[in-house]
Amino acid sequence: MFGGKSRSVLVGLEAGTSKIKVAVAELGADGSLSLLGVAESPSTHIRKCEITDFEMTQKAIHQAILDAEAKTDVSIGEVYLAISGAHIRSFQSRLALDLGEEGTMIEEGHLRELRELVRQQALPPGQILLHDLLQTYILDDGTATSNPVGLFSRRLMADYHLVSGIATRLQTTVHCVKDLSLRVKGYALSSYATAQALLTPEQKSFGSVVINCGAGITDYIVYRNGFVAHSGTLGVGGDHLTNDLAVAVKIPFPRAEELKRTHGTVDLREETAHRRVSLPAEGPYEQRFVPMSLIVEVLQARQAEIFEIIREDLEAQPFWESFSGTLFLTGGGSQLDGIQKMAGKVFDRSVEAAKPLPFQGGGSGEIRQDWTTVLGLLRYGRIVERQESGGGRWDRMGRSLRRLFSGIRSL
Amino acid sequence: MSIRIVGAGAAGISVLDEWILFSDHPEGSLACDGEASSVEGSLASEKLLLAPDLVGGLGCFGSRDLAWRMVGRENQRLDGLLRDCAGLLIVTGLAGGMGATVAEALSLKAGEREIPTTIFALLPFPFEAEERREAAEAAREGFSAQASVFLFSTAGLLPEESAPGVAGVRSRLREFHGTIARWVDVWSGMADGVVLPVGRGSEAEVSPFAVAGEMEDCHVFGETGSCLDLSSLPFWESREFGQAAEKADHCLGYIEASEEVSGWASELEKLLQEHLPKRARNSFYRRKQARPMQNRLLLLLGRAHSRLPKSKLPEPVREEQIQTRTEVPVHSPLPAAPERELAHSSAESIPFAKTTATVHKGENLDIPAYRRRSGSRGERK
Repeated sequence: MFGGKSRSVLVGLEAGTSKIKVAVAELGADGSLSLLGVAESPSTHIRKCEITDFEMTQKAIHQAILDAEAKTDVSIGEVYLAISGAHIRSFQSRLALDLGEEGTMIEEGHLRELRELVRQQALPPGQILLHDLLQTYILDDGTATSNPVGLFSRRLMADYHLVSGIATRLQTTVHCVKDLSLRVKGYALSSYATAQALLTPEQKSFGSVVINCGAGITDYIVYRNGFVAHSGTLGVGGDHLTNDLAVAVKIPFPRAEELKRTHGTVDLREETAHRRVSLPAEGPYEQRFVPMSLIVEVLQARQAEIFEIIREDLEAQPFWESFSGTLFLTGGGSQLDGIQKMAGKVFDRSVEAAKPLPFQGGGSGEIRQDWTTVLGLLRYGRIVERQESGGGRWDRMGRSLRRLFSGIRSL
Repeated sequence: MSIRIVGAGAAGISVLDEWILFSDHPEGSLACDGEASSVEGSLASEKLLLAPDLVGGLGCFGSRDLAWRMVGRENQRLDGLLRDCAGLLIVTGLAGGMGATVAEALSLKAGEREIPTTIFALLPFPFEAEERREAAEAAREGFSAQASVFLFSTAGLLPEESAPGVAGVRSRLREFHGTIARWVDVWSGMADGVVLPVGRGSEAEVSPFAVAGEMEDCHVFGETGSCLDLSSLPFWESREFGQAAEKADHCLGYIEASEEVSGWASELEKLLQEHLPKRARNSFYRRKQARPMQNRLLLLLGRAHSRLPKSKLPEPVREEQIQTRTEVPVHSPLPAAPERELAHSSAESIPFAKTTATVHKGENLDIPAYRRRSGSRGERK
């Protein structure tokens, strides 16, 4: 597709816990991406990124697709889909290939053989491999390289970051889209797609952690030396903060959501410590006054717990102690006041609010924090399309990229 | 690998003790509570007094927040209980704080370790305070989705027309705990392989205690005697049985006979067809070798209520079930609410109540963090 037509369109679809988002971009002949538009519709029957009502979710997806078509004047027939959920698991795997006592020159065939081996890895029953992301090749003397072709060695090892999920849950999501006569062209782990929207090659190389604070879940991914070093998903998100507030203040969930949005903070400042927030009378609910100290205490407890669980997981990774990269916060939950300061304290690393990489075209000015995943899908799609098209300079430049994204397969 | 039968909280321990007195093979029993008097007085082979350093063996006073703090302190010991565990049965009352909390924590931990878990939960009495009934509802929502939960109703346990007096109440309560203890015995027998399903096709081959989901409104009936005449058992004609049968869609039958009684299963099936609605599914179990005691027949009537999300329901609701549901009287009919209000009220429920709980190191992260972390703020008005 890439290079074959003067105009091709990429569509990213994310069925999130609070919203269904669809992003449409035009992929230019030179490989540039122009954002045509983003559409969204509320999703009410997805919990922790898993569909709980097929029909209602399908309607919401249909609505978002129709909106996107109207906004961009594009007829949508195929999409790249973001995959997430608390059932997603990631783990490291090292594989080795014996090349004989005398050693031999490493060829492309050896790399393919390793890739086949990793795909045959035994997974727990019911699980399916989502991504097999190559990290590095290692020769018999311990030399690590991203391209061992042409080198001599007696043994070739490869480190992979593998991501798997429960097949039935993924099938439900894919089926929900396919049933709308949309072709699922490819899919990517949400955090992986998010990183594509945010990180430059330099940031991936130097070391970055992207934490996507979603409504239903919080997912994170770590890049180091240019490859994915670790990823994780925690089934706790912004809805939990809202629910905690609803329980503590004894107000309904929608009121708590509004309270969180307007007055939510995890940073108790002196000037607000003794303030009380007024909740106006509405319908059957009377006027209430809520102390700011209570709001902060409730939100702090939850947000700190989320970060601490992620930190525990990162601390268990061998690279974390020497990791000096930056943490980027994104997603709707990253808009919470004081969250960056808290993340800085918990992780003891520099923390920045993530800024999506710029797009060409009219839609670029509207980019919001909670769109990063769906925008990342477009960048992911671009890489996949280039990989499929092959040839030209990308064939030379993209060899390692092709390996990186070779884990894509249809469900 | 061994099985564990945990009596959690005062009511759970009482049932456990009844089972120990009744069973000839009471192995794997554990009494677990925050109240020293319940734990120390139990007949269980193992006893776990929760967080004595925090509450001095006085219990949690019905506070779920305090109960969670106590459970949090005993995290490692609770983990240890499940080591090499092949099957777990938790018996608890749901109205109090401690038993329900221990049951919730243990079921989640067992779910993480993929240990088959059954919970026998006693619902509050109808006269108990609204808060306690709400607490019971919250507790049943918190159980692991993989667990098989049997909710035993206490409705009708105490007669409405005349007060039986304190001694009478105690006696009835003990009797009630005793009948549940019989089912603990059936569970234990099935785990040991001495109680077997009566082969009547595939339905009876799957243990009812291994099916994830809830069986609500459970009522138990039993009869013992040297010679059991199935057709003239007294409970057939009782009002309690009639009321329970009307709502039931599942019936588990268990018989223990000192001599071979041929054809009892088909006779019982015929009788149940007369007394239960057509939709009811019957499964029968019997003990391989009867113990030297009187013959015994036990029935457990209940209604299946899956806690799985709608998309995972095994089969669509049949027409007759819909009809039955509409027959349930509505005590205070409400006027139709505008759509906006309906959407509002549905959103008021916990947004992840119907999803698989997010569990991290045995803690249910769906429970507000401030409660688990401080345990005090929940009381604040």
